[in-house]
Order: sequence, then C-alpha cells, then structure tokens
Amino acid sequence: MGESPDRIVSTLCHGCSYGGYNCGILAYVKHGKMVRVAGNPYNPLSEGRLCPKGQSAVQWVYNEQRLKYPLMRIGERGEEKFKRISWDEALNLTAEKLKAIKEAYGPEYIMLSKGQSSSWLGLHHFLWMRFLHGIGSANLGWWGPYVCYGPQLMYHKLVIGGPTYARADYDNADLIIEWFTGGGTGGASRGGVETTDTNMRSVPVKILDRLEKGARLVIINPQLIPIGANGRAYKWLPVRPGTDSALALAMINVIIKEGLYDKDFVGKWCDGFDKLKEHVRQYSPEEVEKITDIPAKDIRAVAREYAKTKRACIRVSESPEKRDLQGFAMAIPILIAITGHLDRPGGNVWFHPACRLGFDTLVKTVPEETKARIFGGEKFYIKFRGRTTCDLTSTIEALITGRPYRPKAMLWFGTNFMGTGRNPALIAKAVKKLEFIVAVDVVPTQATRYADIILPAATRYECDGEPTIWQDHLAIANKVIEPLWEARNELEVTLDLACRMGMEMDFWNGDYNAMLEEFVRPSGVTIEELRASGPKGIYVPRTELMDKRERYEMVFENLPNKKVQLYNSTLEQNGYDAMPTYKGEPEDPVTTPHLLKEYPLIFTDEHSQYYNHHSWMRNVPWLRELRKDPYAKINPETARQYGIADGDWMEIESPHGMMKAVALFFAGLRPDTIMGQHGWWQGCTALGLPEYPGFNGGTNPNVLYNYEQRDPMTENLTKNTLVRIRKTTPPDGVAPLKEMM
Amino acid sequence: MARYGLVINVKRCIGCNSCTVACKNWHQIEAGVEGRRRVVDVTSGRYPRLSKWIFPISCMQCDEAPCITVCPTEATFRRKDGIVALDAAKCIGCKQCIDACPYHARYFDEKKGVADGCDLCSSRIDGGLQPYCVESCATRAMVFGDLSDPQSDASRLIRSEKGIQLSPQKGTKPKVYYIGILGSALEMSIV
Repeated sequence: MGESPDRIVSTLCHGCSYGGYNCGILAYVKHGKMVRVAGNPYNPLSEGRLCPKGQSAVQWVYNEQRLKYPLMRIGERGEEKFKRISWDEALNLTAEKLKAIKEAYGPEYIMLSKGQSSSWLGLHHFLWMRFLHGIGSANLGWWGPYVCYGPQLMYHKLVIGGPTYARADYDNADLIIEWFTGGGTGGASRGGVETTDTNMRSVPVKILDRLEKGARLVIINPQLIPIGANGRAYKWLPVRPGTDSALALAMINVIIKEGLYDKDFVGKWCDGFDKLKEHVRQYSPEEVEKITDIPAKDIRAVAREYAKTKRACIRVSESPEKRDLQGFAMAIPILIAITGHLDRPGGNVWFHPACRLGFDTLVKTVPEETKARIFGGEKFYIKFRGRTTCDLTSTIEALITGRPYRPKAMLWFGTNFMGTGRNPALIAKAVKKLEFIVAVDVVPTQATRYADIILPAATRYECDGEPTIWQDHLAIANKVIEPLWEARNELEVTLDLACRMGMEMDFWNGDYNAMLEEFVRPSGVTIEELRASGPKGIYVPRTELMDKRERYEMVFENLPNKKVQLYNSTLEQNGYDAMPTYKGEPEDPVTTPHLLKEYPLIFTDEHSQYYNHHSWMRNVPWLRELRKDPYAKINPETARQYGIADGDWMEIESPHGMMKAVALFFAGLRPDTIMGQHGWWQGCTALGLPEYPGFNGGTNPNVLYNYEQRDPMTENLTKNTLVRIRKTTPPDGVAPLKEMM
Repeated sequence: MARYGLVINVKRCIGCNSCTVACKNWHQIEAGVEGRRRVVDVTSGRYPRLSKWIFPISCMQCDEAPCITVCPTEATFRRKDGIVALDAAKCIGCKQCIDACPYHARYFDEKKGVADGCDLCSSRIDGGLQPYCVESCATRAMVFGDLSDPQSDASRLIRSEKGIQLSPQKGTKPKVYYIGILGSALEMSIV
C-alpha cells in the first residue's frame, strides 16, 4: 500500500467504449505491471471521478478470460474447435481469403461490423470505414442503427434537423425530465442521448448539481431509477412500457388545447401546426390514461409544468427499441419545439465540439454501382443515411435466402453479433452461411465461436492510443503497459491487414503515427504536442458556434422550408406517416389484450447500468460480484402470486421464446412488468460463475421479442412483449472454449 | 489535534458502488471478499407510493469503538488523529472486532486470516490526500474533513444540513455523518 509507483500514465477509461473521449484515468505502474488506477482530476469531463467500470480497469486488463493468441477454426463452423496460429499466419490467411472473395464475387461480398466497444466517430470507427471502403465495399453492417442510437436520431433529424441530437442542457435547467422508455437506469454510466460531443459520465453530477440549486426532477419510467431515489424525484410517472408515444402525444394535446405553446416560435419556425393541432385531438388525457396507466390529471400537470417552465429539458433513452418508434421519436422533438425549449438555455441544445477529428473514409472511392448493391439500399432509411451503412435485417435475409446475393465474408470488431440482434437463432443460422468470418475482440463472445479466425485485441491501456476531443478539450489515451500475451492493438492490426492486402498506399504505408497525425490534424494540434501534454491535455479555441444558442438558420437548413416539420411531408412522400401516432407494441395489454390470459405480464429490459456496458465486463470480478446472476426485476407483490422468492430462478416465456433469469425483488417497479437486462451470457471464471446460453432457454432477453414487427421506416426492433413466468431451475452452463484459454 | 470524519450527502448518492470498487482498486483487495465498503439499497412502502434509499456504509470511525476495546492484541488501535486503524501484522484473526461492531462494517479476509476495515485511507491522509473513495466518488457525494475544526467543510455541512449518525443509541459515537436522509431510513441498513 505504501509502495510508490514507478510511473503514473495519463490515459482514458475503457469502460464505456474505447476510441472515444472517456473519463480521464491515471494508471499506476509498478515493476511493469498496472497495479491500480485513479481518476484524472484535470479531465474536464470527469474531474477525477470514476464509475465502478473505471475503478476496475486493472481487472479488465489482467483477466484470465481474455483472448490471448490468434486462433483458427479446425472443426465445422460453430463446432467450437480451434487451434493456435501465429499472427503472420492469421493475417496472411485473412488477406488472401478477402482478396480471393473480392476477385471472385465482388467487393460488396465482404462486410464489416463493429460493436459498441469501440466508439462512434472515434478513430476506430473512421479506420474501419476506410478499410472497408478501401476494399471497395459499402456493406457496413452494425447493430447500432437498428437497436440503438440511430433510428430515433433519424426521426429527430427529420423533425427538428440539426447535426445530431439536441440534448438536455442540465447546467441551466429548472425542470429536468428523465424519460427512459423501457426502464433504462441512466446514471453514472450511460443511458441517455450522447455522442462524441456531449458528456456521458458527467450526467448524474450535472443533474445533482442542478437539483441542489432548486431544479425539479421528473422521472418517466416504469421503474424508479437511482437518480430518482433518495427523495430526488419530484414526480415519478411509472408509464406502462411501450406506451410512451401516447403519453407524449397527450402532453402535446394539453399544451395546444390550453394555448401553452410558444406562439412566436411556432409561427416563425414551424410548419404544419394546424394539422398537428387537429391530429392530436384524439389523444385526450382521459383516453391516454387508459393506454399509459398515468392518471389524466398527472398528464395535464406534467404537460403544463413543462410548457410553463422556461428552462426545461427532456432527456430520452438513447435506444427506445420500439415497433412504435416513429410515434415516440417524432412526438418528443415536436414537444420540445412547440414549447420553445429548442436550442435555448436550459432546454434541449445542440452541443458542438470546437472541431471534429477524423480523416477521409474513402467513401467516395466506392463505385456507385457497388453502393447501389448495398443491402437494403432501396430503403428510405438507408438512402437518408447516404448508403453508408447497410440494412441488417435485409442482410440476415440475404444470408438465409441468397437473395439478392449472399455475402461471403464478415469482419467483426468487438461485436457480439448474434447476442445483440434479434433474433439470435436466426442470426446464428444466417452467420453459418458465411464462407469466412474474422472476429477481433478482447474476450471470446458468443459470436467468436462462429469465426474462422479469432484475433486477440489489446485493451485501451495496452495501446498507444487515439486522440479524442470533447467540447474544446483534446485528450489522448497513452499506453500504460505493453500488450499482454499476443494481444495487439486493433488499429495496428487493421493497418497491417490493409498493407497485406496491397492497400498500403491508402493506409499510410502502415505507419501508425502518420495515421494518428492525420486524424488529429483538424484540431491544429500535433500528436507529439498532445502526447507531451500529460494529464492536462490541450484546450483548443472555442468557436462562436459552440456558445451561441437559437442557431435555427443553421440547424433547420436541411428541413423543407427550413422549418421544424410538425407535419412531415418528407416522410409522407416516402410512404410513411406524416405525424406521430400511437400504435403500440406487437404484444402489449392495449393492442393485444387477448394474449393476456396466456401471457399476463409485460416484459422489457434496461439499457446498460453501472457495472457493465451492454455485454461487456461481466468477466470483471469486482463488477460481477455486485450483480452475480442474470436478473429480472419483479415487484414482490407480483412474485408472491407466483410463489417466487427473491433470488429464485424464473422461467420467462413470451409467444416467441423462453429465457431464464434470477428474480430481483424491487418494489419500485410496476407490478405488471418484468424488467430484464440485456447482455447476459458471459461467465466469470474468478468467481466460478458459468457462461449461459444466448439462445432460447438461456439468459438472453432478445429471444423473447417479436422480430417480424419492426418500426416501418428504420426497422427498429422492439424490446417490449408479454410473458408468463414460473419458478424454475438454472439454465445449464456452457463450457468455455478451452483452446481459447 | 485533528479528529477526522466523513459526511455522506445522501442527496447526491445514486448507489453506483463506485466507492465500493474504488476501495478495492486502491487497496488491491481481491474480489470475493466483502471489502471495506458496501452500498445499502432499501425500498419501503407499496407501489407506487414508496421511498427508495441508497447510500454507502463503511467503518463509522467511532469515538468509543468497541472494536478497539475487544481487540486482544491492540491490532485495532486509534491514531492520534482519531482514526480507527488496524495493524494486520498484529491481528490474530480472532474475529472479536467483527462481532463487536454494531454496524457490520468489518469483514474477515479468509485468505490472509485477518480482519479488515476502513481506516479512511490513513496512509493517503498522512500524505496530505483525501480518502480515495471521497476523491473519486462518481457523484461527489462524500466530504472528508476535520470535525474538531468548526470551519472545515465537513463540520459546516453537519451543522447546516443537520447531519445525523447511524444508530446513535448504540453509544459508539460515530464520526461518519449522513445528511439528506431520515434516521429511520438509515436504520433500515443494519436491521
């Protein structure tokens, strides 16, 4: 304890994805080993604070469950037989295979997917896009645009424009509405709308600081989340899962009917108000009470309070995951806009960074005829996204049916491809049709079992890392220790592979430093300066745009008439609803009451929480001991009716599948709802906890959901269904892959 | 002489367990043992009228510490600055201190065969630093300070926010104070 470290290295946390601007970490090194971490007080985002994920960095690095050596499949696909090979063998084999597929079939037969582990719009993201485009393919197929951030953002952009989400300006708000569909917990980790240019980890602190100054906090969530505990929630509206759009529409109804909208803003900046006014008549608080289970008087009260409070902000879930996404994702920005809370202090504001880092992804070099063959390229959603990502549901279908063509190869960087998507069995079936899969990851996942080549990725602390920016602050993740075992920096591996495929001209001749230099160039700071800046990092000049508000000319620029679209002709022209409508979920008490007899309870699942990030980090003992078992929250009164005790294993069965989870009693959850959590499969060797299956009968909530009925435009997948429960025995554990250990 | 204590601002605690893991990280306490800190999460009442309380518990740094009284080897001792500390080299693993603590704030490390508990990171304090959990708390919910100095942030906070001790009726005179929570809610953590 008293021992002083040999070195203290300033770096960035790996907990909420790497490649992004995360909390600042000071890593203590003794005898070449990373022994502990501390928060970096100079980091303007985290100011020395760390959440449990950051605190347990050492156990993430020195984890016996990590992938240690390159592996090659020797059995049938999915048979889980692998042998150790050298990096040279692995990369040469991969390069040859990819070149052969490109020559024999065409570049679009090669696909690339990344997970949440590497950040959005960070260096990894840029490099992998460039790698795929360099090959000549545009078939980027990742789950983010289907289950996470992307689909909701699409609607926000179509309604209120802007480069990205207009986010809650907590620092100046007097009323804070934390509106998490599906029961997200928010908090010290993620949970909420955020990207590279807003903060993630400072969110709870910002809310708490503001509450101390007298702001009021409203929680809209089927469960009372931690930020609302300890008497902080001034109001808690435990909305029935899947009915949020009806609630938002009823609020719009009240605000218009009572004349509480911002008449100046609506008159000057909004299109289609009269049509909206007419449209929302059907959503009276009394009607909506029947749908949402929120009393009409509470709906009126929250609508009035939001409209009348000048500085009021709304944070919504990053990933609503609803069939009824359109209703919710259009109603919220409309609500923000008509009440005059858009891009005004304390409302919902666009936070711009001082500059954006990046380099050319070579997207323009992909021939138009190849781009036209992107999966789902005919769909409005894919076209709107500039055909820069393909449609994954179309991809899965193409793999199974061979129509319009069957892709041959996939590269997976840090993605648990079938664990994240729906439904897992269908995806596994599709993936088996591939000729060649390369999986690069820190730990083995359910998906790596299906790969032909498995490559061990280094953690962020082992990489001479990437420059990142948050607002006007540049920080770099410095290397703390050399990579363990034979793990390698994924960025270096990508460069190496590109060179072996003959693309060295487009990849800095494999010069890693030259790549970093180009990435950071837009900031005007060099990589040497940034490395030398230590824990303090470098501040770049703020721009006028960053601190300006009411930037309507700019953010509405791409909207028809350069105005907020309360009535959306763009959507209408493309065959979708022009205004938000409550439609319900594929299975819920309102839309399918006939199912209640067999399936009497609602099921949904939370987003990430404090101890993990999606399916990451359940192998970390300090984190895992806080929540050992795959759980589903249940109201004790409901549990009693089924003879279920706290800690009992439950069988949870929907019309689509069955999973098992340990009952976690929580009186702060709606009694008609079971609240699961996604991402459970991994074992924890140090604590003797087994891996559980990710398919039917395992611990993956994604088997329960309706896969067929998706949001019509974005294909957003639902995480709402009806279930029945009973007490059961634990699922059989899955043996870890011995060859990998 | 200083008399160090801790103020836990429950209004700022979100129960994230950052402090629980921070402690294990800083002191290199392996997983699988209880550790020096825990987060209590109690919900009372019936849906939807209920209250949910979350807050951390650790050694209360009692002025009249039963763990010191019962220790047969003086392994548990009081420093001059009032901190209750433990010299593991002197601990014989009799567990009497663990049984004597009314707050269940100590644990037994089976591997090392010794008792262990929070000493407010005394070695950091000696170096002029704060306890690590206070410094890295994800929500700035804890304030460390000298309770003998009426002008310290901790003393001021106890006065202005009417800080309370957990179960003062146990008579051990804790130097850990809670603000923003009712005594009755606090009591639920040790029943």
